Amino acid sequence: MFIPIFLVVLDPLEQFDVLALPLIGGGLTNLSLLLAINVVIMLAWFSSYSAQVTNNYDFVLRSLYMLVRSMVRENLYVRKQQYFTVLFYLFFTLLIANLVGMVPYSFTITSSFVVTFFIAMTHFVAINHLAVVKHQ
Amino acid sequence: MIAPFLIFIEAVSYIARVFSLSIRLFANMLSGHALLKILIGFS
Repeated sequence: MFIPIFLVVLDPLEQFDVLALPLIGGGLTNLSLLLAINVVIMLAWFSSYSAQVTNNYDFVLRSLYMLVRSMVRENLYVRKQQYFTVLFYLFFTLLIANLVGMVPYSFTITSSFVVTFFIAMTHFVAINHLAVVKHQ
Repeated sequence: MIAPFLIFIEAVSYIARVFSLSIRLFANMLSGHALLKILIGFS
């Protein structure tokens, strides 16, 4: 039966389904592939940075670095900025996840509750562990 | 006198912040991408 394309009602929530991809081992899902792509994009972006800014990617990375550094300095009162890398990694994980999620037929890893709850719970446990170790 | 209640309230607030912030990020991403998909479907 022929259905015209303008009568097909698109389900707006089917983009959040976690599907098993019939790829390499079979244990790869939508979510794990996009997590790996996130890490690959981040490593490629950070490793291609050169200190003399000649590229637009370098310029964006440098200005986002300044943004995160100013945010950390305003909000985190420690003398050495030793937790800067954690917050830098967290910022860029969420940024790249949401930028990759804007691509059509892609998947947004932060729209699954497992990922956000994993991030929140690991940081909660780490912060409390550091507090107990430091101020015991 | 009010200190035990304050300890309890602060502890509940401190633990609930984890769930609150993660549910905020999850719900914002879900609603934003669902809205974009709906608006794309109009065209």
